[in-house]
Amino acid sequence: MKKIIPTVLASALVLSGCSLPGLGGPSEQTIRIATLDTVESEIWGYTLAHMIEHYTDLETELVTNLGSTMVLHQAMMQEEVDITATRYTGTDIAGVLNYEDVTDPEEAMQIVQQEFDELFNQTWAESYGFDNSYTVSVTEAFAEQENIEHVDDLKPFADEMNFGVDNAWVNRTGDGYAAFTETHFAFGDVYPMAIGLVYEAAASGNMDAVLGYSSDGRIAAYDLTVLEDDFFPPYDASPVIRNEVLDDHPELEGILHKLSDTVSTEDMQEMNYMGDVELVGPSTIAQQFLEAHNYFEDVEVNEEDQ
Amino acid sequence: METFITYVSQNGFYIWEEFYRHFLMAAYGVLFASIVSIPVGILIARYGKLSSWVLTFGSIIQTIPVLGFMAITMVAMGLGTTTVITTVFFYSLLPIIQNTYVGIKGVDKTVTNAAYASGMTRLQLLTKVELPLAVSVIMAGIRTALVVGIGIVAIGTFVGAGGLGAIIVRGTNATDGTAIILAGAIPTADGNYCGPYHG
Repeated sequence: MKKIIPTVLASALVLSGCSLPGLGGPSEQTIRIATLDTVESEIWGYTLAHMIEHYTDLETELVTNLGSTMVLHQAMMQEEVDITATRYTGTDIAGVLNYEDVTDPEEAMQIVQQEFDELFNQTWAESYGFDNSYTVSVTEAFAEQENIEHVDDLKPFADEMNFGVDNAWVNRTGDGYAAFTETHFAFGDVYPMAIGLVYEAAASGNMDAVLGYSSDGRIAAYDLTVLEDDFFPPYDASPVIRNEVLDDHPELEGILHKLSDTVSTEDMQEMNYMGDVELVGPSTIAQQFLEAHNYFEDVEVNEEDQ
Repeated sequence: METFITYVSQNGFYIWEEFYRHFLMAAYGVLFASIVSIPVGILIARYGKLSSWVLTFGSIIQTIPVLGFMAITMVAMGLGTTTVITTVFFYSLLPIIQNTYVGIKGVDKTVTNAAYASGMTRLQLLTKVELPLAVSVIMAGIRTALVVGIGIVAIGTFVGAGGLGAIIVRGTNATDGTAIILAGAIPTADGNYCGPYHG
């Protein structure tokens, strides 16, 4: 028994201390960046990491493949990560802040910037420049044949249609499927699945309509048509950083500023296409993007602006 | 096949990094489990009454789905490698305790009696007779634990620990990502195969 108690204690100590050789634990000089499980989010995670390592002596660690924005938010609240690479205004307004019916992009941005600062002591940085809203898509052939442009045009067919949607969306309050049916109509069958599968499911005919991301490169690649809609709130993408981290490392603010408004939705589609279809690693895409723009060395950062 | 080769050649270093990280997480979990389990195994081999309790406890852990266990651990320990290592630790307890117990119980009674008769103390009996004879069985337990551990770590990407699971998930989200899935899955299987000899 004498042997066991110290060993249990020792291993418990080591386990909770969590800085094991080779695995790199959190330290003062490490910025932890969290990303979702989409290629877009990982690209921005690596972009931030490369930028931070380019401009500062800080080290970075990526926490990838987190399942949803709620997980990102929880990780930030528990101070397990310092930056979340991609946060979308609409998702956080509905999911985290529980606002309803905000459809104006600027109003949405204002709300999240103010509320996150006040409620959570986090800075919601300016948008990267693209937005990634949910869009209902059908195949181009079907859209042309039945002359469908708006989501409402689908109504006569909806009872017979299979609708493939993102796992993370279907049960969401505010802008999830329940709210969707109230505004529009219900589809015959709804199939929640991993977001990566929906485009192929639509292209192969397994699904008649799918809910995809507007910045996804596969919409164009698979000949899908995005339908007009005024149901979904705006989803401008920004990084979110904890204020305490900004206080410790003020130079990060300039880095986030350099990245603002640099990528349009079409550019993002191309980058996503590289990752999702051409299977280029997110880190490589980020590197190429930054090298093409010379790490935004030319962008002036005016401290007084902020 | 061609895309697989392209992917691996473009991302060789990244795959190696994740492989190393993956293996290390499994190895740490098993290492800590060994530190606890081997003494426990010896103890229950000697005091038989405890054995059924301890082994039942170990078996109960094995019946919990890994993903659920990891989710609960995450609530207590947060994101990252610590959670994964802790999970591997708990799932490794049973195979190592059980094999230590069986290994020591399996030592021939005539051998231990002879050792007693020659005047050995209990400690000498353990270190000079029982453990050397049981070591191959104990090693088999550690090997089983490591194989299970490498499988568990693959799920660890969902709690933000990275590892080869991250590559596999990237592949499932890509279109026609078979090449990426293979690039993550083959090293995982490989780790299963050669892991025990390093461990």
